[in-house]
Amino acid sequence: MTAYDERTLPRPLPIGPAGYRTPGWWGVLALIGTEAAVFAYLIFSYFYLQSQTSQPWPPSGLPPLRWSAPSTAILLVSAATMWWAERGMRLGALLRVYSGLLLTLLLGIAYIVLQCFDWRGEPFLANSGAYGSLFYAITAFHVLHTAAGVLILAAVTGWCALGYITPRRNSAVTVVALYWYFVVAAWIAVFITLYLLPWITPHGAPP
Amino acid sequence: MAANPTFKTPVIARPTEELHEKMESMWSDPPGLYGWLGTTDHKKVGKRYLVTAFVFLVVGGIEALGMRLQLAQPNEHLLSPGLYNQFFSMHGFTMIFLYSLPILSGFSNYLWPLMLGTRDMAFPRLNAFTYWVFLLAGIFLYIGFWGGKGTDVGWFNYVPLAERQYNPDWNVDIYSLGMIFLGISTTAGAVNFIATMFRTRAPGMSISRVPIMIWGTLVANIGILFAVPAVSLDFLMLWLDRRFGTQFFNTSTGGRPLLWQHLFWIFGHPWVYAIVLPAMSIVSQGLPVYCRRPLVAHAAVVLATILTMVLGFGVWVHHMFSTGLPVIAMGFFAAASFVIVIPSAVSVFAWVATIWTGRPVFTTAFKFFAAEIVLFVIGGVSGFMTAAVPLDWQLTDTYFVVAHIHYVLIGINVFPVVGGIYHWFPKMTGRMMSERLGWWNFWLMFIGFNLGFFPMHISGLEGMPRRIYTYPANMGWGDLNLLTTIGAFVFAVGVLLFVINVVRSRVKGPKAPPNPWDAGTLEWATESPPPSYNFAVIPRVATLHPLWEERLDGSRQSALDEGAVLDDEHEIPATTVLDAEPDAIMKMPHATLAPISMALLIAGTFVGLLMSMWWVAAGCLLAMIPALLWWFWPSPEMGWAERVRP
Amino acid sequence: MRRAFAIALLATPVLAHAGPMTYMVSHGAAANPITKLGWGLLGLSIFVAAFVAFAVLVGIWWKRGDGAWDNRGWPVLSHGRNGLPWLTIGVPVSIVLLLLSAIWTFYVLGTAAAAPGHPKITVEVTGHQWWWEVRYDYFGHPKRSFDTANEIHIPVGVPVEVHLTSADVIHSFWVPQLAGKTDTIPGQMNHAWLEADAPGVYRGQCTEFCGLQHAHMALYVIAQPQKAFDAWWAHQLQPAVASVPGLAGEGETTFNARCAICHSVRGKPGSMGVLGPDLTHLMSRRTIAAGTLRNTSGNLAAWVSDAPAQKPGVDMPPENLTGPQLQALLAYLKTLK
Repeated sequence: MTAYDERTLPRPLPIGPAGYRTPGWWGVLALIGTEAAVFAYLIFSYFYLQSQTSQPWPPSGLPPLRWSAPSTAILLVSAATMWWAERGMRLGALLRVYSGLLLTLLLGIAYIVLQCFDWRGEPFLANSGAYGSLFYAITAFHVLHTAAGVLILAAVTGWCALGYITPRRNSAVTVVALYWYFVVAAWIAVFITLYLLPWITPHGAPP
Repeated sequence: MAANPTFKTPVIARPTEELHEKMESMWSDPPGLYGWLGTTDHKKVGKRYLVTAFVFLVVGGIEALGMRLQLAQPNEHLLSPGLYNQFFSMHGFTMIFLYSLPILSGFSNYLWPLMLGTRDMAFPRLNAFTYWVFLLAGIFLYIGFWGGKGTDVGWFNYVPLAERQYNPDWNVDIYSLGMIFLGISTTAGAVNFIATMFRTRAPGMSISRVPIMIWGTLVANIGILFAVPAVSLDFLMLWLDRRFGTQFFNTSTGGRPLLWQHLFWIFGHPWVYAIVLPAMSIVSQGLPVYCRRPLVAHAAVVLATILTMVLGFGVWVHHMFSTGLPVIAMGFFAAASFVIVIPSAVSVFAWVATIWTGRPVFTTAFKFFAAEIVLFVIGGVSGFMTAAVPLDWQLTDTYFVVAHIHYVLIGINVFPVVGGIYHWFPKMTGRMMSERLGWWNFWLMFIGFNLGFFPMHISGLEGMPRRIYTYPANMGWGDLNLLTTIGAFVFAVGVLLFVINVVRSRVKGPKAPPNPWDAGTLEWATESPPPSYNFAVIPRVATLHPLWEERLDGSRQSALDEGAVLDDEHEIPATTVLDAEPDAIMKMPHATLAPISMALLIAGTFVGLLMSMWWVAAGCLLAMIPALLWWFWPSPEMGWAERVRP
Repeated sequence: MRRAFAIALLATPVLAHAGPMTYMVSHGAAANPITKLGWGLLGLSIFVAAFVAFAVLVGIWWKRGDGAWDNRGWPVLSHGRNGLPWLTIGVPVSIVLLLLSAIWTFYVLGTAAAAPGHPKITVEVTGHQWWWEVRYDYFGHPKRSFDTANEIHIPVGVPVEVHLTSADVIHSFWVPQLAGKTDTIPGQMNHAWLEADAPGVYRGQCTEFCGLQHAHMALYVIAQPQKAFDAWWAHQLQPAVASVPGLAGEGETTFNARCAICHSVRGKPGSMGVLGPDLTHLMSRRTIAAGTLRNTSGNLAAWVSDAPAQKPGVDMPPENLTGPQLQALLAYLKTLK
């Protein structure tokens, strides 16, 4: 007696990157889980030390929004361009794909540059106190994740240009988009914690 | 038909001699060093994990024997305090990180694709990579030891003692960077197990038909995914403090020493479940075979496993009960620590019920699995006692806790591991182990273990603190320690017998049939050892125990001799999450040197960071870009398009 | 019945071995409820472990009727009888036992966590690598406050509040027969309390790994009747004898030159060091080197000449003293009663 009947006889199945939720997608999802946990623990450390200190926190006054507000806006736009590129891939509109990927890449680089300016503008160092150490650790972690995203985008764009990634075999674009959305979402959490919350709930008297 | 199609319908057929030959030549590794270094075969990776983890067990055991000789009597001078502190610290992290998870990864890597009815893990190259990183990280962690710079502030590495001010030498730097290094392997392994479980099960293996051992490992790895980042971050912060003067833990500049402990135990407690849940599932998988019946309350045990891991994230403060936290916080964590006993009770009762309503066969494996139940409960109740906060104020940091941790670690990890080897050795090597030697092996290990560690409950209740290199003569601890030392050596002889049995049987044990124990899951449907491709045709399963169906339910419903052929290069079916209906075809890689190259570059980065040779570190980091491009370069073999433009 | 037997079974080795650090017997209100809880949970634990071990053994050996055998000589595979009652009974019983244990635990937590009322006596203990700095503070009156080290006296039947901190790494303050442990953490002030219900000498030890000589960081808590305690306090308040003649006077010179950098002796302006223990009333203590050695002439001589030989890694360097110098120094130290 065979276990195969009309219900279980196989039908045409997509092969490899022609599929939608490929193993790579699951892999990046799990990676996002663990990296999100890193950000969560960093932010936990920030709130824990804030709750334990009797000194003003942040100790040198509110972190300026001069560079961080534009960089946040840039990242939000980059999420839109990424979505646009992914959508273009699904529709087979290659021009949209290239422009979307390249725009996202450039916006990512712009974010990194702005973040460097933000670091230059801060009055404290990484070793001047726990706040400074955490501030730089959290923001540097995010810059590193963005830089990795930029490199991956460059690779995917290159592979598209070389013809390996096509509208019919496009899982790589879905996967990189998933990672990029994580990068943007993580920044929103970081931005709110480090830059916005001190304005809303100041802890201790600013100097 | 296109040479590189994007869709295809799998052909259902029975395996023929030609198919077997074709699959063998397609899936077996290239000969020589290239194949040995570049293999992505999960069976080879699994065996490497088992052997390497076992070597670390022996190393950690020798460190323990050294400690036991020093403590056998009061005021001994065998080991200086500095050396003793290195020994106990190295023993701790060797057992907890270099043995107890990798050994379980070894079982899981080897068995998962076979139990799931497929041909490899979801990410075979990542799998090979995790092994090389584990090996290199283990070597990295030990390089200091040979120069007398083994870490010496305990495996838990509390600050401020671990800070540069109190420990200026390289010991703690090696430990900190080494742990981050090792964490890469653990995390990547978790990613692999999760993707494999959700996407590469055999058609028809719906959620209710997934073997229990898959559940134990899956749940542990989901926990690992969320727990390991805490400790990696902790060690990174410590290394930054030591190397660059950051202030994460310094009270005078806003930091807190307790931040170290919180992050460490937020990782540490889930970690202990990660190293016992897969081993418990080995017992759940193997015990029923020797009781000649399926596991009692399989679904309850699965749910209990999941609940244990979830609750395991909510109890970490019970390692910090004496640090002066608010009483109400400690009360909450004590309550959670009581609650977590309940799912463990579910597993224990399920095992006892399986024995009582089954008909036990006294193989060596069965003895180890049955012993695990008893040792589990002893370790569990001593843990329950430490959950009671005010009592923990007396028990913590005494040998009572040392007794507890060894009952749970040796009882719930080592005993099932040894039993698991007796159970699956025939499958892995094609030979049977000696039951006679196994009898001696078991009894020496069981008696030696209890002789060694039971007295620690008493010396702990007598007030003997932990982590002391010696003790005065009139405390009432001398006899108990002597007993423990003797027991430890008896246990070591038992372990030695195990090694002898493994080696002898490997060479001249009798040949093993495919299913020597008449077990029910898919791995026993292959040859012993399985061919490189595992299954010539992909099975379709209809029950939890495909090999037992005919006798338990009266008819064979699964299809083991007829299934999807999938022989255009390395292919396996991908199936839906809940019902395991095929919905895609996955292409698998061939042997490649990209994983070991990446592992070596990561090692180079960490060595550069350790020696403050920043250019070396940066160079290795940059070299990872071409290495990753090599790894992930799209190829038709993996289903990508041929390059259309020149 | 089985439980009582089990308790007796474990109690015998425990009590037979009862050394000075066992906490299964206790002598104070901060520890007594915990000791009872300890025995209770221990008894329950032994019962549970014995029950499961018994169940496994019986399950293995008990012949359960005749069953068929297959051609390998193994029992035939079958679904087996219903095993669920083990869980449907066992798990609820376990939950009830856990709940009762939890209730008792929280009750003890409430009684043991803080001292009853407002203790009149406060002792500040600061952990160092590897000794205990002790400061008796009388409501902030400097003339009634004093420093000592490694030995704490308390009056019988009176709760004493202990404030704990550390000067370097994390240590843990533990006097098992009087109270549970509380860590001493730098930058943080923890609170514990002690009360002894009988006079006696109670040994304590550091129980958080703190480096090379963690094993040799003990302390003693001595409970005395109120009058004796008051006398001890008054004595401790006295500064050292102003001038000492003869050999001891030479010893004092040596002391000021070699030891005063780290050690203080109240009443001697030249000795104000704070890196090591206060030695004003050194000879009133039973032990030296944080409980490592009994306070005898021989041990004192050995310690002073070469401390690292007794306790490797200690901060106190070996003093290369000639024989006469050592004798003089010892004579001086003996005046610090």
